[in-house]
Amino acid sequence: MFDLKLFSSPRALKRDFLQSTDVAPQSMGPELRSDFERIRVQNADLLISGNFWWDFMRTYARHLTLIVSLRGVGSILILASVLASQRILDETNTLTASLWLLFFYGLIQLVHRVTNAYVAMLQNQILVCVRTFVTVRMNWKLLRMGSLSSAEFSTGNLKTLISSDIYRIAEFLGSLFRNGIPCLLGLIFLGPVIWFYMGIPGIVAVATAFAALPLALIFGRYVFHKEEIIKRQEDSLATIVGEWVTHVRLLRYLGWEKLLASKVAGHIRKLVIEVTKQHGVNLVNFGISVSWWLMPIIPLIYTADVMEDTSDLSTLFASIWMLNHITLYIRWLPGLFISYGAAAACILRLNRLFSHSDIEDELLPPCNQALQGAMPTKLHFNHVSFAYEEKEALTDLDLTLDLSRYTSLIGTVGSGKSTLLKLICAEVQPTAGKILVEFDNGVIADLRHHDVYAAVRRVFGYMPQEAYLSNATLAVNISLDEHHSDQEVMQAIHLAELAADITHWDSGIREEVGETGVNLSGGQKQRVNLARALYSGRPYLVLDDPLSAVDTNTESALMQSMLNQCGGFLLSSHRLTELKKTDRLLVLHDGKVIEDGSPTTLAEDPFSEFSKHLRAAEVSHAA
Amino acid sequence: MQHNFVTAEEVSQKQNNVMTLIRFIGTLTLLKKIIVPTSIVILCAAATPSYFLWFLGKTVDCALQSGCQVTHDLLGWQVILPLTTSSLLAIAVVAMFCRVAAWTMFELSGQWSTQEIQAQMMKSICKVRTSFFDENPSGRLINRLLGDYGMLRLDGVMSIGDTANSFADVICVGLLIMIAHPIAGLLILPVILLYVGLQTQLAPMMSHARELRAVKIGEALHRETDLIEGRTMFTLYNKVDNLLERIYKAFNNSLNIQLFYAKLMSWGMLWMGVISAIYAVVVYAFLIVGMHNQTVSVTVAAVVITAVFNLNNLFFGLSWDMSFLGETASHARRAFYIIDLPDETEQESHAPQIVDDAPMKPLKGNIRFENYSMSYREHLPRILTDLNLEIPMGLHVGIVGRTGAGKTSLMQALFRLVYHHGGDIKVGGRSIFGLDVSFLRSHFGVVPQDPYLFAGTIRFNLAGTMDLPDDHLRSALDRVGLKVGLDATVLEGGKDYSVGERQLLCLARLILNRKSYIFMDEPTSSLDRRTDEKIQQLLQTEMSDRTVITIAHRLESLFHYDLIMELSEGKLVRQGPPGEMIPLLQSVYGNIEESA
Repeated sequence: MFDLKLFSSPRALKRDFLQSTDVAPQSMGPELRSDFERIRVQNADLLISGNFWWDFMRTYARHLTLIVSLRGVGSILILASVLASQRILDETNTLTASLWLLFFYGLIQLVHRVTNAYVAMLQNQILVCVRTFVTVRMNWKLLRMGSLSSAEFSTGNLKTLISSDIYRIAEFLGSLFRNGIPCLLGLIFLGPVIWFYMGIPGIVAVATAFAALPLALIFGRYVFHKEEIIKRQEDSLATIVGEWVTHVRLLRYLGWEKLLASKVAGHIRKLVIEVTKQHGVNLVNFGISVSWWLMPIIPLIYTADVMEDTSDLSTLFASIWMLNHITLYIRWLPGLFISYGAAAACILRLNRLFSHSDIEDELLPPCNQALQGAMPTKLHFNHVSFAYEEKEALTDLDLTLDLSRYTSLIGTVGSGKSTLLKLICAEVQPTAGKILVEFDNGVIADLRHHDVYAAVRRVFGYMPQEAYLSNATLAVNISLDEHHSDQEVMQAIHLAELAADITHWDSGIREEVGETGVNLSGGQKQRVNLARALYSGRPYLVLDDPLSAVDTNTESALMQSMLNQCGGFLLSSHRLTELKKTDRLLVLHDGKVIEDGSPTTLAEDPFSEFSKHLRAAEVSHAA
Repeated sequence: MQHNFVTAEEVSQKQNNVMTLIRFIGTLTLLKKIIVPTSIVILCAAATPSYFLWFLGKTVDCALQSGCQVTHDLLGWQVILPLTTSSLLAIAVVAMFCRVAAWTMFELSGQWSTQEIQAQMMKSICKVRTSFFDENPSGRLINRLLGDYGMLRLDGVMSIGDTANSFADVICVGLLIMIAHPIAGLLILPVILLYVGLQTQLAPMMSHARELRAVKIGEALHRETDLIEGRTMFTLYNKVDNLLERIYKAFNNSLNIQLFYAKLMSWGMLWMGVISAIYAVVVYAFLIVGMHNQTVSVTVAAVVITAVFNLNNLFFGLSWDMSFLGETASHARRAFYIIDLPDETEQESHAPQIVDDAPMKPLKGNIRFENYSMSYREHLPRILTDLNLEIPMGLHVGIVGRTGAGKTSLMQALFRLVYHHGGDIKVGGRSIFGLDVSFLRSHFGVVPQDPYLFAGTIRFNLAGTMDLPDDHLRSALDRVGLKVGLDATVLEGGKDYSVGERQLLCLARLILNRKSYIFMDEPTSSLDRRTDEKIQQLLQTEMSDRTVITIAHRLESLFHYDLIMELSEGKLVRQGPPGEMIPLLQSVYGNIEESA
C-alpha cells in the first residue's frame, strides 16, 4: 500500500528522506501512468471530446470509484462504531459483554484509521490526475494548433492555464471527494438510521445541520470576490518592489529609497486593510460553521421533548453521534460550491482552447503532385496582401524570390518587413492572394497545401525578430536537443560570433541562460537565435534583423558566416553597410516593394531609396 | 537553476526553528498588547463546546422532571442556568461567538502586526550594499520581500493561532473526560506529547517535501513555457519529440514529489489516527468499568463518548496546524535574514575612519580622488586603481575612455556604492567617508544613460521627495520643453516616453532640486537632433553655475566643456581643455566614440 515503510520509525524515515534532495520515482496507481503514456503515444483521439467532467471521470474511473467506495466503507465503519458504542451504553450489558464490544469497537477504529489514511492518499493523487489529464491534452493541442492560427491565446493566457487553472480544477475535485462525497454518503448511510431512531425530530435535526449553508455561501462569495481585489493590490505591490530591486543604483543616485519605502508601506497598509476585511468575514464564517455541530442537537432534544418521544438515552446519543459525523462535512460545502464556479470558468477556457482550429484545418489537402524528394527553388508572391485587424501591413505584393540567392530587405519600422518574412515561413497566412512554390522538378503549387507546406518547412531556417530562449543551457538553446554533439554546437557558436562571449562564462556552452535568457544581453540573445538557425544546417535562412545589436566588426563576420553557411537567404536589416555583399536588395515602404535591384547598383544611383538610406545613416553616425 | 529552498541540513535544525518562531512572535507587537484577553477568549472558545456537552447530559438527565437547574459559583457570584433547550441554545451561541472572537483577535491583530516585519525588511534593503542586488536575482528578492512576508502575514500568524486554538480544544476535551475519570482525562497529556513527538519528526519532512514540490513544479513550468513560447521553433526544426521528452521528464519529477507528499501525509495520518484510536479505547475502558462500578452514570458516559467521537478530528486538526509551524519558521528565517543584512558601510572597512566635524554642513569645493582604488565586490578585480584626479568646482568636465575604463565607476565611487580598497575621496577637503551616506548622496544629481521612470505619474517622477507647488513643477517642464501634464501616467520604466524625453525629465528634476554636482551619462545611441541640442543648451544655460561631470560617448558634445579627462584602466591618462584634447582624442578613437 505504501512505498514508505509502514512500520519504520519516524526517525529512520526522516533520516532517509532528509539525506536526499530528490525523491525516487513513485508509483501512482497503474491506470495513471498508463494513461500518461497512452495519451503521449497516440494523441489524436484522446483529446477532449466535449465534456471535460465526463472525460475526466471516464479516464480515471477506477481511481475515483476506489475513493468513493472507500468513503462508503468509512461511513459504514462510522455506523458500526456508533452501534457498538450504543450497545456499550446499554445498561443490560454484563462486564464481559461490554469488554467484547469494546474489543470490536477498537477493531473497527483501527480499520477505519487505515481506510482513512489510504483514502487520503488516493485523494491527494487527484491533483496528479488533473495535472496529467490537462497538461498532456494541452500540449498536444498546442502542437497541433501550430502557428498558422491567429494568436487568440497569448503566452500569458496559456501560462495561466497551465500553472493556476489546473489547481483550481484540482481544488474543486479535491473538495468534492474530500467533503462533498462523504457528506452525501453520510446522509445515505446514516440519515435513514437517524430517521429510524428519532423519527421527525431526527429529520428536523438534519435540516438544522444544513441550515448554516446559505449564510456560509453568502460569506464565501464575499471572500471570493475580495480575493480579486487583493490580487490586484498584490500585483501593483510586486511592480513597485520589482522596480526597486532592479534599479537600486538609480534609487540611490536619486536618494529616493525612503520615498519608495513609504510608497510600499502605503500599499501594504491598503493591502492589509483589504485582507483584514476579507479574513474577518472568513473568520466569522468559519467560527460559526465550526461550532455549528452544536445546533442540530438542540432541536433534536427540543422536538423529542415536545413530542414526548419515548426513545431512550442511548438511541438519542447515537443519533447525536451520527449527526455530528454529517455536520463535520457540511461546513466545507460552501467552499465546494464556490470552487465549482472557479473551476467551471477554467474549464470554459480550456474548452475554448481545445475547440480552437488546428493547423490541419487551415491547410489545404495535399496537392497530389510529385513532390517526393523535390526541392523548392522559388517563391512566387501573387497579389499577396496581409492585414492585422483591419490594418494593412502588405498590399498587393507581386514578387519572386530565388531561394538560391542572397536577398536583403530594408525599410522603415512598420513597412511590413517582418510580416513578409512571417508569410514566407507560413507563420501567418495571406489575407488575399497566394504564395506559390516552384520546385526543382517544375511543379508549382500553393504554399498552403499540406505537402507543399511540409516540404518548404524542411528547407527553411527561421530567425524571428524576438529571440526565443528556453530556460536551459546555451547548448540546448542552440540545438534544441539534449543529445547534441558539442562539436557542432561549438561550430555554430563560432559562426554566430558567440565564441568570445562564452569564454567569460564558467560553464561554457553548459551555461544556463536563465528564464527568457535573462543572463544574456540583447545582442547575445539574437546571436544565440542565429546560431540555432546556422546549427540546423537548413539550406535557406529567413532572418529577421540579425545584425541590429552587434558592433561593426561582428556585423561583417556574421554576414560572412551567413553567406558561407547557406545556399540562400532573405535577410531584413536596419544596418546597411554589409548589405552590399548580397545579390539583391528590396526596399519596402508602406507594405509595397518600392525598389528592387542589385545593392551595388542601387548604392551608386544617388536618387535611389537605398542610397538615401545610406546617406541618412552616415549623417546620424557622424552626429 | 537556483535551489532557493531550505536544504536538508537546514530542515533538521529544529532548535533553530523554535528560536525563529519565538522571534517571530516577538515581532507581533499589536498581538502582544492584547495577549491576555486573547488567551482568555481562546480558552473560553475551547471550553464552551465541552461545557455544552456536559450541560446536554444534565438536560437529558432531568428531562422528566421539571425545574432542574445548574448553579455555578463563580468568584462568589451565583449563575443559575435552567436545564432547558433555550439554555442549550444560549451556550451554543456563546460558543460560536467565542470561537469567532478568539480567531479574530489572534489572527487579525497578528496579521496587522506583521506590517512591522515588512517595514524592517524594507529598511534593511535600503541600507544594504549595492552589490547585494547584483548577486541575488530580482525574482528571489521579490519573493523574500513580498512572498515570504505574504506567507507570514496570513499563514504564519494563522499557523500559530490555529495551533494555540487546537491545543486549547484538546485540553478542554481532556477536562470533560476527567468528569468520568480523572486518570482517563489526564491520559490526554501523554497522548498530546506523543502527537507533538511524531509531529516534530513529520513536520520537517512535510515542509521539505512541500519546498521540493515547489521547485519541481517550477522546473516543469519552465519546460511547459518552452512549448508555449517555442513550439514554432521546435516544430520548424523537427525537435518536437525532444521537447516532449524534456517536458515529460520534468513533469514526472514534479508528479513524483506530489505522490511522495501524498504518501507522507497519509503515513502521518495513519499513525496519528492509531494513537487517537488507542486513546479512545482506553477512555471507553474506563467508562465501562465506571458504569459497572456505578461511579459513572450512563449520561456522563454518553457525553464523554460524544466528545471522544470528535477527538480524532481535534487531534488531526492540532497536528495539521502544527505541521505548518515549520513552514512559518522557514519563512520567518528568510525574512530575518533580510532584516539582519549588514549595513552597506561594511564594504568600506579600509576607508579612512574619520568623523566629519560638521556633519550637516553642505559640501562645497573641488572633488579630489586620492590614490583611490575600488572594485564592485570584494573579490572582483579592481576597476579604479590608485586613481588621482581633481574635478574643479563649477566647471563642466567631460570624461572619456573606452568601455571598462572606469567612467561609470567614478560616479558610483562618489555615491559610495562600491567596494573600497584604499585611498580617499575628498570634496572641498572633507573625506566623503566621514559623512552620512544619504547626506552625501543628496549633493549629487544624476542623468542616467537610459533614464528609468518609475510607474506612476509624471509628478511622482519629477518631484520625488520634494514637496513643491504645481506651478514650480510646470515651469520646470516648460523650461526643458516637455509638453506633458503633471498627472500623465507613466508605465513601468517609462517605456511610453522616448529616451530623449526621459532625459529631459531628469534635467527638469535637476533644475528643481538645485544639486551642486551633476553627473550626466550620455546615451550611447544618438537622440534625435532637436532633443540633443536642447539638452546641450540646457546644460549651458540652466546648469552653468553647477559642477557638471559628463560621461561622454560623443566627442562633438564636448566642445562646450571646460575640461576633458581621459581615463584608461582605472587611471587618469591625460586632461586638458577641449581645444587641446579633442584633436588628440579624434586620432585615438576616431570620430565616433564606440559605445559601451
